[in-house]
Amino acid sequence: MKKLLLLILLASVLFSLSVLGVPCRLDAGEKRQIRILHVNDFHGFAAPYRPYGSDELWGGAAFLDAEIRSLRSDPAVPTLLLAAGDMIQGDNWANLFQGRSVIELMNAMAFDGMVMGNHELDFGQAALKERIREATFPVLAANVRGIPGLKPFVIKEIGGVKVAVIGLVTERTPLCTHPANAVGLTFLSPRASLEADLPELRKAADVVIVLTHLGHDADRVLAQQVAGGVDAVIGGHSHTRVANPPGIGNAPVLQAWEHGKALGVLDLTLKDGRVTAYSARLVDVKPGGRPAEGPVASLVGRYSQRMEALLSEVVGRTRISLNAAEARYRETNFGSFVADVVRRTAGADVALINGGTLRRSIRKGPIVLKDLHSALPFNNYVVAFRLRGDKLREALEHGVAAVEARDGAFPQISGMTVAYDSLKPPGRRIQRITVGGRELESGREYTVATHDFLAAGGDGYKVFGEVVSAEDLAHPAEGGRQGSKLVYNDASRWLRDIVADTIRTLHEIRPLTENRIVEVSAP
Amino acid sequence: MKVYVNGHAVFLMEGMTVRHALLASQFGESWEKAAVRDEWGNEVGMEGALQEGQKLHVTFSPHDAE
Repeated sequence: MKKLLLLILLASVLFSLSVLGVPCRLDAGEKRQIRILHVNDFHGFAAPYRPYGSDELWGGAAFLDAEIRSLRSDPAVPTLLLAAGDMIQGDNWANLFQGRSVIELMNAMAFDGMVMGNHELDFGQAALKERIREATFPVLAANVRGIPGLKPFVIKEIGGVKVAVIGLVTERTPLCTHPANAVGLTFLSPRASLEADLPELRKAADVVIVLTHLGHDADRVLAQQVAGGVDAVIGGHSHTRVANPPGIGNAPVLQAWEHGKALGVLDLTLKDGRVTAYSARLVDVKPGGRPAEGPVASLVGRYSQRMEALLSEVVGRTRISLNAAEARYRETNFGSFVADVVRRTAGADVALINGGTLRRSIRKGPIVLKDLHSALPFNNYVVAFRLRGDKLREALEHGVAAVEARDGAFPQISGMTVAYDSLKPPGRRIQRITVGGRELESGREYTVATHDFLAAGGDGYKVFGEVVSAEDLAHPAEGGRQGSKLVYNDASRWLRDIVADTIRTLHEIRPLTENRIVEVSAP
Repeated sequence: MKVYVNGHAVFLMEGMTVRHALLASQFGESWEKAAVRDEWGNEVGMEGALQEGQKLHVTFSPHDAE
């Protein structure tokens, strides 16, 4: 019986050690150095690009990989490579493969772990599960329940040092993606989740790294809340270039900008099994005139070729040319078609987009996906909110106020008709508005769909922006969230992708102008 | 969600980013030329996520301001 008990005890000890690992047993006074490399918010930007306001190319996965390999080359400094979320969605290079290209890239670059970002859910749970399965590294999120394969933390041993990495993602994730993407998932408090796991991690590891997708402001608060309990907070989400990281509660709070334009480097010095010093810096990632070479460059090139092939897909046909050229001063069939898509997507009474949304006409015949990307080049997404009739009139007045200037604000609409007189002064031009065939009622609320650019007040549509501010001031806890004035808000799908899917479904389209917008003073 | 751009409050929908904050602010369409920093002086990207009460500081290079 004693033997059996001893065996059970031995087995349970061995099991515990296999799960949690054994804390490092550094000799007294022995110093070790380890290096943590980190990126965040890559968003599939595999090729270098010129950011707004810069004449230089930045980023590029091949050049990021070259920096990583260089920093990993010293065998005396064992290294971990981590990603702080939002890696698989964003650029076409990622989106056209639902992020598979990025996971393959990260496998090739030998990532050691990543935290799930909010945009990792944008292709739906099934796609995310598939990406997690394909990854040769763990995908972490200690505060998310409901996604098989997701791990709360990982403990890695490098150079005799045990490093625990725990992942935390913003609990606001379900509020800014399509509701279907978050069905059945639970997002817990990041702080509570960290505090629940921290004692176990501290016992099991020499170093505890918190890998977050919360944003730099939230990371600073978190570091203060668990002061002394963690050795570094490495974050993403806010796309912050933390060049001079603060030390909060002895832990550096780090973030490496966005799109692989910078690589974060954190060097930790350990003595007697605990971190005694750190230094952190960002390395700029730029091609600098060098050619992209090596296996990662080849992988980027392979997927770029496949991307070109996918962009050549014929999504359907149009029996009539789609007119974007006149969308800045009159109703066009292309404008009405896209506005219809926006209205139906949100299930709204009416839709209003700006003519500047449409950048290129499409000739009658086959519609190639690349044509749609040229015609709708902006990463806009659909939103809808409740708006009183008088405010809708105000928005339409703004839309036709500068029709002579042919600026991008001119509306393209769905679910309503507008008659205006361009000879009248701006602000008094609208003669008549009908919604669903009935006169607009000033005091009645309508659901109005548009895209995020106008909803934020872009192209001068301040009346849309005011919807959110009025709601926020009245109900600060609810402002900006779905369920208050805001009835639809899906940042996970670009408008052009919804338009492409609509055409795929219809196979053939023949949108016509229908006198939705009539200028009454026109000869 | 309320954030501050150069001290002025702007109101945004959940999921909107730095770019939207600039659109909603006095800077409007010039956002592409702006350099944006957080309250600690860190540069932030236009697609950076925001949180309640966040403070942004926007500057334009002298060349762009002309």
